[in-house]
Amino acid sequence: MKIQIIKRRKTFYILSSLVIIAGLLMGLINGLNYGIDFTGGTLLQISLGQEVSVEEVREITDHFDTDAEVVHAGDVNQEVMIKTQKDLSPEERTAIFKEFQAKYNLPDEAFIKSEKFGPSVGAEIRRNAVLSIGIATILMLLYITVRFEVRFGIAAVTALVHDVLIALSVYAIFRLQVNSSFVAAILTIVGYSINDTIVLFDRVRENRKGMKRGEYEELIDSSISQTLTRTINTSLTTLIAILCLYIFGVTAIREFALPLVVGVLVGTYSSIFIASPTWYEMMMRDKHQQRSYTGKNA
Amino acid sequence: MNGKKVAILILVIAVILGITGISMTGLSLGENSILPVGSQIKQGLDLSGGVYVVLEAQTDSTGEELAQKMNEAKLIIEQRVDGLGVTQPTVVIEGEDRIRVELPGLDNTQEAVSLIGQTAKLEFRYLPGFVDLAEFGALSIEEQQAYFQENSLLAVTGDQVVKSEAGIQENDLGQSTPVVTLGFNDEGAESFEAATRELNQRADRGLRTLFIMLDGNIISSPEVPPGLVIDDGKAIIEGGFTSVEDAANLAMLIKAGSLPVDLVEIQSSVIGPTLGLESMERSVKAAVIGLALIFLFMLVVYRVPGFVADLNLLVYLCIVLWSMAKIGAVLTLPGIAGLILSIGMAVDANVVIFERIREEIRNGKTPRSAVESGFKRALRTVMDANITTLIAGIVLYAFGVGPIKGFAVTLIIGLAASLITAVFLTRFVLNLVIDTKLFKNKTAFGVK
Repeated sequence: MKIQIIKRRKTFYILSSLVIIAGLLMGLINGLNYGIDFTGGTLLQISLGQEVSVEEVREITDHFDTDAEVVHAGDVNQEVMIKTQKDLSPEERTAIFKEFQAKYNLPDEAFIKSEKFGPSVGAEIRRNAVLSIGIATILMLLYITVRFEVRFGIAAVTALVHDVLIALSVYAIFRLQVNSSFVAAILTIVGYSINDTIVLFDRVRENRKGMKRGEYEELIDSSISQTLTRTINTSLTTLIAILCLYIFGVTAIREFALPLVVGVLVGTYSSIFIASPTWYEMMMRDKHQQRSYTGKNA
Repeated sequence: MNGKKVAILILVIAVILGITGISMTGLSLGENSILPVGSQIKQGLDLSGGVYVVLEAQTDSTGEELAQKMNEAKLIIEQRVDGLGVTQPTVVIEGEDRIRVELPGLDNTQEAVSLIGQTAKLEFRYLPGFVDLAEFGALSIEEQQAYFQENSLLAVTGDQVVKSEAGIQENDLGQSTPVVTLGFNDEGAESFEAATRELNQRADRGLRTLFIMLDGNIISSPEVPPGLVIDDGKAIIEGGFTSVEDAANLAMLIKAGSLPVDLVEIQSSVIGPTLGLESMERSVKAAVIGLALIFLFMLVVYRVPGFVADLNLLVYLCIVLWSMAKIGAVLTLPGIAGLILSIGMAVDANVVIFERIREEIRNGKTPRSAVESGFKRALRTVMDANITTLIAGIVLYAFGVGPIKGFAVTLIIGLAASLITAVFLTRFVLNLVIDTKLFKNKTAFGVK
């Protein structure tokens, strides 16, 4: 089977663009589902021992904040998570729990979790996240430029930006919570994607020495097919690990594992279908420019 | 078949399995025992359950002044937290004006916050003169405390202390020793004088002791020398200090009836112990199943090299877990994710190498030379890929906070371990396997 990626590259560009546009639209219309560690606010998680409707929960939470968000959690929806952007004091938090405790006759252990982030902390975590991803990307670009060449670096980073945008779209479309573990997830995706891209580019770099002049299409396609088994096997093993997390993990782990599953798939996809064609485009443009220069001189 | 090499191979396999087994289940040999490595790794609050609170100082002070106030506040909070009987509480200064307090096992933030923020009660107390010390000493600690609470007399209270400083003073022998100098206000000076007048009369040394108590805990118990009357509102506590810092700590604690700055809760989290336990159990289960599947996958796809990779992964796991235990890294939920990701990367290093070897065998090379050249060519790929990810990990560690840092730590340790095992161990064991001449068939290397 002969792999023809470069010939069909436009199809992949369109496919990725569609997902990203859909994500951007969803993001613009609904906004991202920020976690309280990004916005500041309070989160309470209480085990009610039975499934209680959101309206019923609101009867209590409305005394404290009518804008509070109430969602079910736990394996059989017996838990509720109450999320508010309001800065509830420790006394208020205890008071809320006491009301639930009285109404549903709960033991003290039912107060599973309570979290609070001041607004300044939220802004800081956000800034910190953008800063770390930015610096990490620049340093990785530098390393690839030194070890390979700048065009490989730019192509790899293009794929990274693509992956981050796709991941963001997935968060927007599925209304996943954008919180600190989102940052860790994005960074994992970035790390995984760059790993994949480098393995592929390394093969391109190696095959380039023996290639016929200017046959970039053939060069990339054959490099992709030579590394394909490795790409599939690695993605499979990593996916096995992450899927186990998703299947057996608790809610917090699942929230983290889902974007990673997407990340591994997208990272693998982008090194083949985005990074390589991008490098190809750059090489072709240079070739054209060279040709037009020689044309003028002649 | 090369018998000597087979013996070495079996030995290597036995050693790896042995070390892994001991690491997982622990070992006890008489007095020396090795605890299972899992139990030696510190767990984050999200795994063990507990409370953390980040407090921010409300103050205009900056620079040195702020740093000093924060240090004082930290020491006072540590003192208060110690009274809770929580195992391994941590109090650390974050940035310039924040203090993070972590209390594993506690499940009530309100309790924690009010305890940390409250004004501590400082008192100088002493026992009444009629106490029979021999009888008192025979009581249990609880009884002693109850008796003390009921019957002890108050000399001075914290708000009557206006000065508390550490310094150096020459003692009777002419040596410089650290001391704490106290100053009282008029009211305090008066009651302190009365107390010294009473105490210096007593014959029994134990009864001449003044107990300085912070929130009911004795922080110092100096003795009033016979015949000494302090009527100028100044007192010196000398002797018993091991260093100037020691004296400075006590001076600070005495001054510390109240925190030097107002602290407000800006971030907090309570994870109930049940949730913590559940996350831990289920994460371990996920890890074990995930690993077992990966082991199986490698074995089925790569045969003999796959088996080598599995051995490799065991060593990799031991390195990662022991490093975490020994450097005291804290394992958090995102940390587990970082760990599993780095396992993926470790497997990848092996996959890249084995695919290369397969290619070389398909190109007609013998397994022996295929391993040599395959390694040489794959190594560069593995290095570049791992170093790039390592760069990301280090940036995360340097700039990240909270969960991101926890993730970065396991990722960095994992990548380092993956490089070491992939570069040295895989090659060594693989060559050994070939030298045994047990597997001459190409299918043993997963080549059809």
